[in-house]
Amino acid sequence: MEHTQPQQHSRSSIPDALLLRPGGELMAQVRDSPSGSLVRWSSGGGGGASPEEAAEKAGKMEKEAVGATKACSGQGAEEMKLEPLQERKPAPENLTWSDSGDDKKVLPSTPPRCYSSSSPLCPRRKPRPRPQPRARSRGPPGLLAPPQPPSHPPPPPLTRPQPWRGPRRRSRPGSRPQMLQSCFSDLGGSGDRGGLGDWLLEVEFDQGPTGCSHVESFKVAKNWRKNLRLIYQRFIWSGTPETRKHKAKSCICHVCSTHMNRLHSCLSCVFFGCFTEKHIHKHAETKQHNLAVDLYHGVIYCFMCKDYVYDKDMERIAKETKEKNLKLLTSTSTDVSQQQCMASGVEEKHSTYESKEQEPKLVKPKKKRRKKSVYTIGLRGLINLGNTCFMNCIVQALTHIPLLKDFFLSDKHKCIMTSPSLCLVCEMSSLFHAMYSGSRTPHIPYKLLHLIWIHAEHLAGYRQQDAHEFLIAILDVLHRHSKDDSVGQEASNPNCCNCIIDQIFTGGLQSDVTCQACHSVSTTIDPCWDISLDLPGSCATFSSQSPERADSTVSRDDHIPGIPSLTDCLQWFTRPEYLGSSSKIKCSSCQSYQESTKQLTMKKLPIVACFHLKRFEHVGKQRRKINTFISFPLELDMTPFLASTKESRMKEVQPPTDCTSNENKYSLFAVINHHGTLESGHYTSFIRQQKDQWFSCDDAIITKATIEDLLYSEGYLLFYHKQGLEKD
Amino acid sequence: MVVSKMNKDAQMRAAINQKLIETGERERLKELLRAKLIECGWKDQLKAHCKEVIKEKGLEHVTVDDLVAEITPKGRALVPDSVKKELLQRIRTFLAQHASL
Repeated sequence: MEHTQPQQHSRSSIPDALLLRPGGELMAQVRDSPSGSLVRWSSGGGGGASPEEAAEKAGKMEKEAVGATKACSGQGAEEMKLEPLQERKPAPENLTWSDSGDDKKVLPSTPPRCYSSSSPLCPRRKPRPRPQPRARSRGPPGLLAPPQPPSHPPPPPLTRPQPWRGPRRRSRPGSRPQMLQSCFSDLGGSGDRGGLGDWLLEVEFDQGPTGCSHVESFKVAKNWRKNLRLIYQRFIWSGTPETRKHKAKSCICHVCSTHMNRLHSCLSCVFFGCFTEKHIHKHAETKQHNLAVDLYHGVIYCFMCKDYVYDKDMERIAKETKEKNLKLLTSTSTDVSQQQCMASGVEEKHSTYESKEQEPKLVKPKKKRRKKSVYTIGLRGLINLGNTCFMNCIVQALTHIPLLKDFFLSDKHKCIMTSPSLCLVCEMSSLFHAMYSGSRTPHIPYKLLHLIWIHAEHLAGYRQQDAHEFLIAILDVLHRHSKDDSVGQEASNPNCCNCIIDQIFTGGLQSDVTCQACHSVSTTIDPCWDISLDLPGSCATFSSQSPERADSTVSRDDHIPGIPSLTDCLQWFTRPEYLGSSSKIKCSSCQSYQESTKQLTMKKLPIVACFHLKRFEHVGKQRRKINTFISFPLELDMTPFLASTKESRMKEVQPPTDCTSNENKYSLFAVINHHGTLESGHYTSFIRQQKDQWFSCDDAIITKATIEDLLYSEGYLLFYHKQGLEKD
Repeated sequence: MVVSKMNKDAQMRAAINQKLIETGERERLKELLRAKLIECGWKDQLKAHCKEVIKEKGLEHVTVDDLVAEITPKGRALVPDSVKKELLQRIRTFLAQHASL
């Protein structure tokens, strides 16, 4: 049933790297791609679906492996051993599971072993999945969940509700397997019975990306983890001399006896075949064993999807066994260590294959270790190229904006600059790729620096620079270089540029100038990329702030008495400001120069709000740094500072708090700090990873930080992201 | 069985391959090659090329098979001679040590 759905989704997993094998063949090695986690896999008609058979296979392989090493009777003897196993396989038209008729009796009585650990690492026996969740997760419900009344025209045998495994067991070669055939042949191109297949294809595509169902049905098998681990340990990574010897002898194509043509091993039975010569393809088609693993790289191919598939659980098994075996491999230089590893190899065998009772115990400590490890992709230090910490800290902040990350990692930038080597957006793109490459060595952003020197000349040279100035400069250059990403509406209206920078950073700052004589208001809206806030202790001190405003409009939960907060600064920023008698403005309604007040409010909130605390003050010839501590919250509500809130306040209308409250909420994701004095200092940044993990980035050094570290830091630039739009 | 069809050359290849696997040298060579290819930028070049191919054909219409077919000639050609030489040297030394073959 599952294998009747041709899955195309696995194609979206792009090979991350291609490796040339020593043999000369190219092989795709693929990392967990975004879709990789989704990609599912089931062996379809594969024998893996039958627990009995799987167990038997494990036993067989075990015996076979031991036998081969003991007797060393070579490949001939081994093939003799393999034959009975293969003969047990059903005829091509039959589903593999249909021959293990006794399975049905055994199955329900098999107690679902469930260990307390919920980690996928734990090789627990999964209780048989209930049909309902399976149906929910993918595929046409009518096909997957026999007990449910099918909503689509169902294939004949599935119309009546049956116990889950019932219909499968009784499947007659003429009914369901035929359907399988029709689909299969349809895929193959000879679509005489393609009607049903087409329908299935359509239904499948409506379901959205769910992954490879053939993997899923492979994973239904009782011992699939054990089997897969065994295959990896014995035939693919082969860490111990014993298994290596075995691999050297046995890993040749069962059809042509060569080893060079991308040898793959069937996951459902013991069969090795050439990939390039299509021997394994032939086997898969005749036996309906849909999954095979590359014997030299460990990637798994699905013959139904016609592509390599990347399943999280399977890849974890591959990775675990690989690491273990690589360790063994490197330690086999001396005889002593060789013996040790032999011993450990034996132990391993005992623990994983034989004494099932020990499994949970042996696995649990590992689980704890895994918990401690942090997700580090995206955390990469940046080398200081000579007073370039001002750049590094901004780069760290920018690379952690989810939307910007999505934009660059999905290669959405289309460069039409005359010389792409000068395009800063292209450079940002490769910078994002470098930052998220998973490499742990610090990145050297020399290209970026060079381009900044070219495009923002005032920042050129190795002098210390202001991080805020750099931020504005880089946003400006990025904006200029990506103008062409959007259609040329730019010229007509500078406010609605559609480039990624403007989409993310641009907010609308409304400035209302009220004439003191006629009280008419003239409103202008200016785009802004950041909000520069005055600090208490500066010349424009705001101790004179009217108290009633503060009490009435702003929820002050983040406020610590006596310590000015970010909210205070924002209030000061949006206060009505008397422009004074010296700067009269011509009022459009009374047609004369009048004194007036000006008030700033947020007309449009940006997706990323960048607050610049003006710590560097220049008054006349005096320049100083203001070290006043400003408390800032992890979550910020911008509602009080909106133009609409102000309007509704003027009209004495209750501000619609409930519906807007979530829309205007922001959460902190990056803080940039300046240490030192105005003349010389250093920039560092705090970066949020995932939901609540904070890291301190000091050029090339990245360390874990606590929320206290961050909240008690001084703060120079604060980056907030609109809630609901960030997804990690 | 099939062995009789295999010519001497192929037999030799198979024997060497067996020895390489048995000793674990194959894995070590693989790791070495991987490191060398990353070091010399081969991996990045090929990655870029793959991206081009995918962009050209559209993500939904590319399978690994297509990609392998398209990229293999270029991939082979791009391997620097120095890397080939080093690998060959390693294999030679290995064979000299296991001359009993």
